[in-house]
Amino acid sequence: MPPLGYPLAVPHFLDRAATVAPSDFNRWLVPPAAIAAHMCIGQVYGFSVFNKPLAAEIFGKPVTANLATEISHVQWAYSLALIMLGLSAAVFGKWVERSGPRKTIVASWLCFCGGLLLTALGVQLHSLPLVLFGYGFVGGIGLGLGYIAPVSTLVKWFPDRPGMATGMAIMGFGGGALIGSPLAQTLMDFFKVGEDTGAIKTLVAMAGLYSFFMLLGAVLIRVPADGWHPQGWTPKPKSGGMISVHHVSVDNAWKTPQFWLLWIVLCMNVSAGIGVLGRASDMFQDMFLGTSTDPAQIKMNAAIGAGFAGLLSIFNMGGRFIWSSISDKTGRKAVYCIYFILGAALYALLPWAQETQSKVMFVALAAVIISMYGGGFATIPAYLKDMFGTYQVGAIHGRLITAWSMAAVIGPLLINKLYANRVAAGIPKAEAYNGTLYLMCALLGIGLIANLLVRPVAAKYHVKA
Amino acid sequence: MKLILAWLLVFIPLGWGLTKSVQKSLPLFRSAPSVSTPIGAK
Repeated sequence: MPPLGYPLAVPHFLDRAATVAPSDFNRWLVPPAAIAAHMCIGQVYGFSVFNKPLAAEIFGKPVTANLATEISHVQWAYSLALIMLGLSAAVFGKWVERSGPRKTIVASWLCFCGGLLLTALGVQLHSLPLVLFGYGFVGGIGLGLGYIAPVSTLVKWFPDRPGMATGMAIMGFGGGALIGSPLAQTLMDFFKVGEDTGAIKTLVAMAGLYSFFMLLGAVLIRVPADGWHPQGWTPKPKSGGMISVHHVSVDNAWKTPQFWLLWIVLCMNVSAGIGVLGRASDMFQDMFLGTSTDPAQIKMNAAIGAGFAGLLSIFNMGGRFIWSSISDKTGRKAVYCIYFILGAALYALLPWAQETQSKVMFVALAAVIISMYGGGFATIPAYLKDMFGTYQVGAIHGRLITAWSMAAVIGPLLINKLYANRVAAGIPKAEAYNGTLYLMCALLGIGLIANLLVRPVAAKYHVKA
Repeated sequence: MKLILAWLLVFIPLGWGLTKSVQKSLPLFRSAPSVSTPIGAK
């Protein structure tokens, strides 16, 4: 029996020391490891496909019944998961830095896939609290751990191109949304028998599939040895000191104005995008397709609206890689200025596209806007690395993600409230969105001011050598 | 070989998801002229 104090529960190969790469290790093996983990946890964005089947199964009603109230209860699992994502990333950030990416991805796998299994058990037992606990609480912790672990590792492997590297991983998260929803639908269609929606078996099967990819990521991932840097590359400050060669600890980082300015930058960028993304389908139908009482037309309009949302998802994913790669050339501050100035200009043009009924223009403008929303997510870890160094960038990123949780609440709230008020005031549905679009411009304006105020971190916060 | 295999393993599901999304977005490009209530009607 091992002596007391021996890490009984954690095998050695999970330790950070066991993941230090040998000198001949190819760093291009790390991005697929990061993408593998992120494309699994990105499933959370496809949760809505479970709304109806879970509501029907948990409350013992046919899936064809009116389930609006039941669905509103089930949706709490999604909201709770996103809240826990932010909280766990903030709370466990330092542990993630200490433990290394392999142990963290394994912990994330246990929570995320365990959460899917608990959700299946909750559905089987018709227990909504167990579903909320399984998917929202336990699964949400898995999301937070899985989100930050590979990102900080990539930043360390690609100090020469941190934007591109983190863009790849965070593109994987966006890709996870594209996979999660059709995968769940395909599996439910396969397992469906009579009144059984197939949701339970689907959740179990998805836990199995995601286990393979998350554990693949855990096995592949490595951290660079201390002092490692790419051959022929030497760190040098540039862009007017906006890329620091110094390091700042997580405890000091959030005492700096830079941290809070970047918090506002992320919060405003996400708030502006998330509100539109969440209402994309309805917005397109209201602005361009009008209302109909013909069931066939309603169905067609819904398909077109879903098509618009699907297209935006593709641009959301692509923007994560493209914009963050561009930031390696332009600098992080400049690329965020583009997001905010170009984003606000394009938002201001959307009502004009609606007035002229130019669908092509509207779709093109919205696609660029959403690509920059994705880009904002993907560029922030590299911005943090520029400001605070790589020492505890994962933990700092974890704390900054609370801005995302906040934005996930205020973005939709602002849009829905303003839209509802304008409709109640008698403004036609097609024009009721204009006010919300101008509000998005204002949010982006706040983000721009915060971004322009970002300066290099004062020397008093630097970690002493 | 390990590198190619690792990238393939992540690109296959990502490619599948992307294809599904493109399929989902097709109705947007095939949209026929609407016979709904004109825009602006309450």
